[in-house]
Amino acid sequence: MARVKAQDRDAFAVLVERHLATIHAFNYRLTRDAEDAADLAQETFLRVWSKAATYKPNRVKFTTWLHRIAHNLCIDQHRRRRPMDDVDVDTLDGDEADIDQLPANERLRHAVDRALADLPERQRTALLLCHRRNMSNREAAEVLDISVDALESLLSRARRTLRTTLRAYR
Amino acid sequence: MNTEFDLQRFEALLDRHGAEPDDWPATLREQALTLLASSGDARLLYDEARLLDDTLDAVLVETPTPLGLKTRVLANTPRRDPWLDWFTVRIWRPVVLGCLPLAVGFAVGANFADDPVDLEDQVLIAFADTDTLEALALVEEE
Repeated sequence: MARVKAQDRDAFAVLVERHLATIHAFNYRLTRDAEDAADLAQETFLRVWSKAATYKPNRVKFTTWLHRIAHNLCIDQHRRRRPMDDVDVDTLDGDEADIDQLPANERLRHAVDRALADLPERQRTALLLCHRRNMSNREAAEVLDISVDALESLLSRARRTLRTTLRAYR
Repeated sequence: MNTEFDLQRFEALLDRHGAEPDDWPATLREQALTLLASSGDARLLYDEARLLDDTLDAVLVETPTPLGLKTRVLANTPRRDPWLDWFTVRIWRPVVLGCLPLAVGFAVGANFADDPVDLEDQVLIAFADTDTLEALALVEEE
């Protein structure tokens, strides 16, 4: 990152290579739109390039800073277009008749996917950040600019909702 | 210990940290594992949390990065103007560095200018020879 601060394009290419897939996946999970996710990933890295001089490595981890930029861009875009909680779950993966034909584990996956899309934006973001320790709860709290307690409350509500969905499909 | 309370705490732990014991806070891990080993209800909660984590793994893995996105990102990253670089690195920075001692000199001079020597004395000191200055000093002492 020090080299990126000095506007080294080769170092920036390495950084993009290393983090693009993660940021694109994160954006896709927040927007549910492949094109938006790609555009926002591009915008995220453009911000990293132009704001590199403002990054303070002793204050926040690079991945935390990067996700905060990506999250803020997603929020801004959806505020301009539509509320993020209004994900059209019916457009996610085919119609109900098709879903009924799926094996049990696929139906379960589909149900959780829908339940995840239905979660309030901040609960969904908290879960995406923390699932499988992508980030520690403290780092995720920094991305969302909230306390660790508030973050854990979001995680708690999100997981409870998804567990309720699981129970209905078992 | 109250079993109901422990189950509640265990459930809260799973909700906040997921089903992987390595991710649980070290201060709670031993108590949680002890409860998990001894309670069927805790085992049910744990299995449910594990299934949720596994299902989320399956759900979240399906987001391939579009081909060519990296190239697009890099192609759209603005290049810095080489003239601007030349100006800032070759001209502006050396000028600023060169002026720094001058600025320090001014600052120091300004601080010591509280008791200025008047112009007549400055001319005298500048042009008089040593004997004249000594003679003047003796006159001032008398």
